[in-house]
Amino acid sequence: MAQTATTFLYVYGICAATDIGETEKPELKGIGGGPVKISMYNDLAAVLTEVDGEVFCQEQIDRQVKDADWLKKHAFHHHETVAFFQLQFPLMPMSFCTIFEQDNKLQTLLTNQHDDIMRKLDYLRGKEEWNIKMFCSPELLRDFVQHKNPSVVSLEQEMGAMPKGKQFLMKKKLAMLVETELEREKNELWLQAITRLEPMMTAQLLRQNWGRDMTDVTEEMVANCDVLIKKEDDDKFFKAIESIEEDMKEKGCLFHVTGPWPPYHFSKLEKDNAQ
Amino acid sequence: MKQFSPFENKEVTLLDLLDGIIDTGVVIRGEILISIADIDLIIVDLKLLISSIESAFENSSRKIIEEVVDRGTLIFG
Repeated sequence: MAQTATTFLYVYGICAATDIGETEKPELKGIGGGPVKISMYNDLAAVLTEVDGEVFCQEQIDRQVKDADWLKKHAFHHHETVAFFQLQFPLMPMSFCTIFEQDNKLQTLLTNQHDDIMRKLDYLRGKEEWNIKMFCSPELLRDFVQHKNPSVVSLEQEMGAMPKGKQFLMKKKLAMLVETELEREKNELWLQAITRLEPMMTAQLLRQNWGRDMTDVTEEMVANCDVLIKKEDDDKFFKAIESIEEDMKEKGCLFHVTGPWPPYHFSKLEKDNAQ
Repeated sequence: MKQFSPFENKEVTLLDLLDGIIDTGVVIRGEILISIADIDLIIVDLKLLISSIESAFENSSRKIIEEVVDRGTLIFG
């Protein structure tokens, strides 16, 4: 059936045609109300749905993403659809609101980037994305630095042998040293954690930390990292994080792990992506 | 260690989800007709949404959000 001028294609993700096989194909409703379909493009396939071009045009989308209710509803729809198919076969997820004006544009793209897409799908096969957030209690960590950090303890001992007047002057230096060592300690703790997790990881991407106003946690976020791991390493990965958390308990460290996510952060085709 | 599923708690994972599916997941830019550029604004709107859902819109958090909206961005970390 010929598309009307205002019908666009909303694409959830790309997969290899050979991976689809006897996949369960339930009647899923797409973002625009029409059915979600798997369209074949030679040996690649796209999970997509047709949408009304007047509703899913740039101007409308720019307006609608500022509506939190619309954004929440549609972002979760996009995610749930991607996650459903990703459970069944390797899928390279597309960004929210990836829309093609015409089918032949999608076809051309899949032809031109065929080899890169196939390589990426091979890379993602059998792997899943997890997010690790590491938090530290500023109070406990400060207490640790003040009483157990070698540089701080050493300076305090030196100060103990100084005349009272000089001790007073050195107090400012000590306070500055505590702050410096506190920051160094946070970086060092994350480095230790990620080093212990590296044998189980294929790739990692560090994100910006979130402030306390964006988390439900009283502790301070010291790392926010997406990692790609092999599915069979799940158990080892969780046990390693639990063990790290136990070892760092004295410093008030705790970990939140979210996933498995579709490989949103590891699906880029750019050459500089972690691979 | 706390473990969350992306489907478990929509409020907790919504920020992570948007961080994943907006912009960072763009695979094939060349032919894409539509994309979303203003991620900062999206996050601000989302924070307002979460605050209203949790009925945690006390004076202090309102002030933070107003400052954020005024600046036009919400700073991570």
